[in-house]
Amino acid sequence: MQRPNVSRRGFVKVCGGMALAAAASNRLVEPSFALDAAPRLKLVDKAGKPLKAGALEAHANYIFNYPYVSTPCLLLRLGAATPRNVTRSDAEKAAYTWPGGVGKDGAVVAYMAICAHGLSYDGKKASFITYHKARSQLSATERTITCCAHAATYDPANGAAVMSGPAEFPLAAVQFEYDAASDELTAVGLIGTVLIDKFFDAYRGDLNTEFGRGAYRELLKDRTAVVPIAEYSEEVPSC
Amino acid sequence: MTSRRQDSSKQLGRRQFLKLSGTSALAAATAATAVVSATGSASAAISGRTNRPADLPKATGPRCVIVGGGASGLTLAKYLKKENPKFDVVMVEPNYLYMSPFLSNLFIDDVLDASFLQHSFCDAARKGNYFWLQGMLIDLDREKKRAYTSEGYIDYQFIALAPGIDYNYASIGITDPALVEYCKLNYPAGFKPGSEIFTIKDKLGRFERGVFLLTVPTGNYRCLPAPYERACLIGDYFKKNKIKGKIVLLDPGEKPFAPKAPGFLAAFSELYKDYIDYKPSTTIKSVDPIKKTVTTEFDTISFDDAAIYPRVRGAKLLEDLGLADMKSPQLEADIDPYKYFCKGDKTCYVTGDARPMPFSKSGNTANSEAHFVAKVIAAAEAGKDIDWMSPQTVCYSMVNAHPEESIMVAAKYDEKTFGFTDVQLDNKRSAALGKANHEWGAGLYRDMF
Repeated sequence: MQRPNVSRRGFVKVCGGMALAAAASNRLVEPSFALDAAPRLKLVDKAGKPLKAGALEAHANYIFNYPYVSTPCLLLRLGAATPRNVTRSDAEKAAYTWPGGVGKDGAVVAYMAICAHGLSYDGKKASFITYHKARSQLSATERTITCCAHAATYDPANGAAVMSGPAEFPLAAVQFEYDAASDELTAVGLIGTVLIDKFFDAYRGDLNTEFGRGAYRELLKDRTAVVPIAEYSEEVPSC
Repeated sequence: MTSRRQDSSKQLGRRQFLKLSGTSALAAATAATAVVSATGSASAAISGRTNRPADLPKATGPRCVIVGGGASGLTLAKYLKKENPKFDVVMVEPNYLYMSPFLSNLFIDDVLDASFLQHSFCDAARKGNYFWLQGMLIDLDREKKRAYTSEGYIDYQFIALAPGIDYNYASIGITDPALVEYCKLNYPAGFKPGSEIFTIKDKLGRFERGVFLLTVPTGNYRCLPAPYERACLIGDYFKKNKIKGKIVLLDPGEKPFAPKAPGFLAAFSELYKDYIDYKPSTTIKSVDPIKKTVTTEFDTISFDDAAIYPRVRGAKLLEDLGLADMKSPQLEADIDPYKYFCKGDKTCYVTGDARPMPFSKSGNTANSEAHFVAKVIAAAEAGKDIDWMSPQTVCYSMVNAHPEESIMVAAKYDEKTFGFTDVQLDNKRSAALGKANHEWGAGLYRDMF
């Protein structure tokens, strides 16, 4: 039996059953805990000003954290509008709907930067899971997200569907609210198989060192900063 | 009967004696009964530890015994439990501590600390929700479905053996048991985890000048690129420490491990021209570990120190249990090549490097394969069968440590030929791949523990 993980803030509730939480598509779902309400975080730039979707460079890798200070997401503006309302299967083989890219061009997507195969992730020291516009040695096609560790590849234009390699389900997708008038984005949830529980368990020691004891579990409030990946990580291997 | 029990009490500790006396007639009867081994012949009655039940809680579901806590066994234990939480999984492994053979070349060249390679079996079993019985398999009665270990016997529903490899010193002309032992201790191969690698690292610290010999085995040996990576990293060590040494690398093949040959050859000529003397197409006829010479078909080479890697074979345990194919060149397991069960017995499986199929013998392959075999066994328990899934081989080789640069290959296997397919290859050494090299290993540990 897993020990309950209860935050002092009271946001987190121990959820023994999970099936109920899993049903709602825009709620943050975890095997051992569920959030009452996923945080709504406005995407801002380094200076704290709201980020404009149109200002994102196409095919460049950006990182923001959602919903915790320590959980990385990869933000991409692809070259074209993605398909909408794509059906994907999660780790339990249950179907879910990925709504598609947002922004004026329908090309802005974001996924948790934690590999669905072996949890390699984009961290302060190094980013192992990144997007390439051009073909790389590990990806048979252009425009894929590749994980350097064991060559898992995902299709960002299709809800991070697995393209090749050992992953068995897609990266969790960030759900956005997009305001066309202001061209601004708000992250409001995660869809698919969310690996935060396993991520915290796998890296607890490192996260405690990086963020301070227990501080890695703090939820962000109101806003989250978007930075180019080279500013987030000391090293960004390209593979 | 009485005298045996009395004799037993002299050999047994107090706890075991009390246990034996407590279950008296039953235990004594078991001890007196001839143990029918897998080979079918009744061995002499054994008394002692192996003839009592192992100290385990009563099975709460179908009991699966995994023999061996390497990349294959650890992955299998964890994923069997995930495939069917009702399984009662017991992993039998004698070592106190896990140490990976993979990445060990990086350890000997000071790229990684030993602690990176070492992990706790307690953690594996605790997180994977299974039992770790610290002991070794002694005998197997497949009719009774009873596994006799050094810590007592376990009745099972399914057993999977992942015992790994042993070395075949006869393949390099060493047959005298005293010389085999001498070679093992003085010039260890370094492909079974633990002590061998520490000894090789220690040798580098002591090496002052002369020839350090490395050998590439014949056959399908554990970790095909490793001897070349080791040559590179010892070359790096000599360079870094300004050691007037020469690495002589004897290779029966025409060139290094096929997909990565360009990457290794480039490193040999661009980085280690003054350090590595690569001798391809060279077959070892004999080794004199006392005189420190190797005789090939061409000449006799003297060495000052060495890590001698002979041909590998399936772990001797399989032969002892009658599970090896005695006609196969490496005496590997006699199993179905797609579903891993011992011929005619879908309750007994062999996985990992002891397999006869020509897949790469590597941690990543074994880890990926075990995911599939866990599904096979779970399906077998439910009376079902599943389609074959290829294991995946992902393989990084660090060819330079200053700066850290690696090459890599990833591939799957063709269902009919078992040859490489879906090959992804990068022979251009780079720092990016060097970084990924570490993460590749870290990811494997995360999946195994």
